[in-house]
Amino acid sequence: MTSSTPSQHEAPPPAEAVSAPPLRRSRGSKVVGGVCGGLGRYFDLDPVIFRVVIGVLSVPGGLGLIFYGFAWLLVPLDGEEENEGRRLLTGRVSGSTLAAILMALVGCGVFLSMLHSGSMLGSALLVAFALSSAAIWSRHRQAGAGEAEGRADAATASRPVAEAPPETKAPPLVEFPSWWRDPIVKDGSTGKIAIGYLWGPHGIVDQDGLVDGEVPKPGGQWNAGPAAPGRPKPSIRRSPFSIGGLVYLLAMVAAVVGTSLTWESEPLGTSLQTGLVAALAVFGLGLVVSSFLGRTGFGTIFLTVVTAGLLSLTTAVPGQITTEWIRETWRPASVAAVQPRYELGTGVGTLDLSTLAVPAGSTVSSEIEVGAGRLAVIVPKNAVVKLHAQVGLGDLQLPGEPANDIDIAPDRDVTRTLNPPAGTTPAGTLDLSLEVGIGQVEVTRAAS
Amino acid sequence: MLLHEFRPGRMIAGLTALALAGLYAGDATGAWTTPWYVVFPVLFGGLGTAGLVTWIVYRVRRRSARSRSSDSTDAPASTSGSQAMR
Repeated sequence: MTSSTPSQHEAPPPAEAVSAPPLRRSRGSKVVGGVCGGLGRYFDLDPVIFRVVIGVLSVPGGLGLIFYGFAWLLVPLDGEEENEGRRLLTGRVSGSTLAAILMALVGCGVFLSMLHSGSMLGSALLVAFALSSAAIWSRHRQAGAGEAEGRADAATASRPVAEAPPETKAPPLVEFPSWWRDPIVKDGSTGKIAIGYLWGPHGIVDQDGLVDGEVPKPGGQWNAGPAAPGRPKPSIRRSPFSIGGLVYLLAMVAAVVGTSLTWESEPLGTSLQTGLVAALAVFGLGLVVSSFLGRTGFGTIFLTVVTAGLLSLTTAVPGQITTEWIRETWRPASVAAVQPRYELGTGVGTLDLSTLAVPAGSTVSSEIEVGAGRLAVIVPKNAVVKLHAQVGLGDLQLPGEPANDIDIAPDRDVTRTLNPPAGTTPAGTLDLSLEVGIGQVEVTRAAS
Repeated sequence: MLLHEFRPGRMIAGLTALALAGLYAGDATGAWTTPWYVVFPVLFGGLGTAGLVTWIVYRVRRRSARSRSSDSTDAPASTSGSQAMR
């Protein structure tokens, strides 16, 4: 028994400490990340309810996965102060962090792929609303019960029974190290001697008879006592100081500076690439420096790999995507005014051919290209449209499809002939070649 | 406490990152074209080499420390206690 163990006879915890603990991920009752266990403890509900609802929400729209992943990242584990997101940002990446990110990413992917079915979203939101209202009700019920108990206590305290003398109690035990039980230290003595006051300051008498630099007062009040036993600090620092956080900070600054310097003059892909190249160079320099000065760990290497992956992704961004969002509408008045090619970097391009009269037997052809954004083409009512549409990543809407049917897919390549609706005399042919890197192609037919 | 013994694995990992940055910097300025898949052989080759070198250096250092601490004529290589070095 040492003096560092807290005495069992110190003041009892105040009644306010009974109130609910902060939201923490549970350590004991965990299946994946302990989020549901922590929620159950926080809201005083069975964690199985949360598990079932999150599982149900995960299947149709991925909402459960998104919620679970972000909760895993943002809610700290029980007994720890930092959440996983902060650990990630300071370069200390663990497997649990990666699993949380992966879960959120998969959830977002499922959510995007299921975006066009709106009915699923409604029912999922309904289930989530029902669960959250149940959780809030349970929490309020818990708080109400605590208040009622407090009132009952107050009622008993005000009775005249309280005038009776308090029950006799055993004197408080004293726990301080005794010389016959302490191990003998290297120099042959038993180390420092603890003072034995029953109601006195805690502490250890040094050679001058002082406790923490003050003369001990016998008969003084109980003081705060020794600090709670934490993790003992190693007396010898084995490893050099970490420079991982500094390197990460500098890399972020380099990325922002590199991107902002080229934002106006270069297309989007090149601008992002410049920023990421700067960040990667900073990571590389940090690693080289840490080979003889300071320490970098797995976190820095992980961030280097992530930066390199992002860099290779930005080289795949099409060069015609610009950093400026443009809205442009082309409305050629006659067949002769239709240009063979229309181009737009990033933004919304609208080609309005609704008033164009295409003579029967003739063919008008045009190419329209939008880097990223939306391309809307309005074709005349009576024209035959030969369509060749390419979408790198996004949605394609042809006449006759409902407006809310958004289905995002990569590498769309559709060749189709759209005949005018029955009852109109077919006019000439429009040969349209549409290309959008990322975004949406929408072809509609004019009403008249 | 910043300065420590040379760690060649970190040096190789850092040089790999610098080489990738150089490759893609040339691509960004238009000096040459770097396809997107170049990142995989360079990164995994470099990091694998770094790991291998780290392991070899660790083995060499442990062996030399062991041989130094086994001869009993001189002062022990480690004075921080008998637990630190077997």
